[in-house]
Amino acid sequence: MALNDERGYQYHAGIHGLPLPIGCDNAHGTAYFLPWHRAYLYFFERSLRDRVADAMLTWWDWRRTPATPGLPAAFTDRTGADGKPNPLASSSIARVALEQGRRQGMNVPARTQRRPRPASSLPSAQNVERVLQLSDFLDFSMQMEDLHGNIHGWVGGHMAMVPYAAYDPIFWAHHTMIDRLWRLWQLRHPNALPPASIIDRALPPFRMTVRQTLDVTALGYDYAAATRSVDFQ
Amino acid sequence: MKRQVSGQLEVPEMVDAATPMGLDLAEGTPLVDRYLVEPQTSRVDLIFYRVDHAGQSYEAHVFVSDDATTDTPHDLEHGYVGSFTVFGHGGCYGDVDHCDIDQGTHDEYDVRPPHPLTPWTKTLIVPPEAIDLFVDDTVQLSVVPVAFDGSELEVEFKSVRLAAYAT
Repeated sequence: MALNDERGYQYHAGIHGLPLPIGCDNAHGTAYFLPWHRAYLYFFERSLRDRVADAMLTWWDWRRTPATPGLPAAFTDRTGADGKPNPLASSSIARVALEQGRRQGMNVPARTQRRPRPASSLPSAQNVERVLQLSDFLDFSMQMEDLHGNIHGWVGGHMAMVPYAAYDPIFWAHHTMIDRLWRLWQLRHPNALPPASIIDRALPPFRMTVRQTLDVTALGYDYAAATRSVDFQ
Repeated sequence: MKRQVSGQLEVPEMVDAATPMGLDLAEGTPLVDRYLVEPQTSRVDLIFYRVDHAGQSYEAHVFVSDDATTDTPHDLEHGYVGSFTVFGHGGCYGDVDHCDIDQGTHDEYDVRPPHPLTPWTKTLIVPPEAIDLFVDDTVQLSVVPVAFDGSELEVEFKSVRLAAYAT
């Protein structure tokens, strides 16, 4: 779908950065980081479901383990089982977004690319656990945002640039992991809330307040503690 | 209940950290009282104020050392205490003054959020095994920025504060 159709991928990807004027104002480096991105995921997933009724976002567990391959094969295979190009491997970028960047000297390829670092440099489970143990929302949010930024840098390429990061399909799996960790943290610290000063604030451009993001079950989803897939022959 | 004991020093002027730098945090006064560090201190934070995030994304590696570089190993022996990341705005894409933080009129009725490029506060939680690096009377800190894409960059922040918490 073209950028000017609010049901499509280009529109949703563009909300995070380019093209202006819609942007992720105050979604980074502030207490809005987790709520804003939860709203972002919510509206994106709803649009996916408008096209495929049982579609759902999946998370990429990027914690470093002996078995960690780095980027999941589902996002790196060049082709799918049907032999067609894998849409999760790369995405085109709206032309107007490219043009706005070029006018300011940011020349990027018209399709998303990645330059992942070695899997050994991903955050460890211990790194994540230390953050999950923090009991204050702002404390947790800031450290979680730092881990999040680390992964953007680890993936590299367009993911390392705010204006274009959300065009890369791995962005959504990364942020779903962040959202899942927030959910797990909420279960551990049920009384820890965002500051009262922001809790009834809106999360533009989304028609949702911070308060409305706090209960994922009220948004119609939750996270499994673990998942495993079995292929039936 | 956490009790905060901290020392604070303002870095005198905007720091250009294009190259690794050393910051005198203490000027002869113990920032972290050994009495509190051993054994009551449960946490030590390095808090960086007014971190600029208008440019490209980077990771800032922090060392208790006066000569750390991009080649310095990330281990306790070399004073490495962790890093913080800045997912940068990547430039200004609007018209003239679009990214000017001080533009516009603000008063007590203005419910708009702060300008998106308002500098951030970044907190680096020192790993427990590295807390002992901060008990000396003088602490030299090096911040080594590394751009996500490996290119050279300049980073700016206004001040850094060391905060120790005792349970």
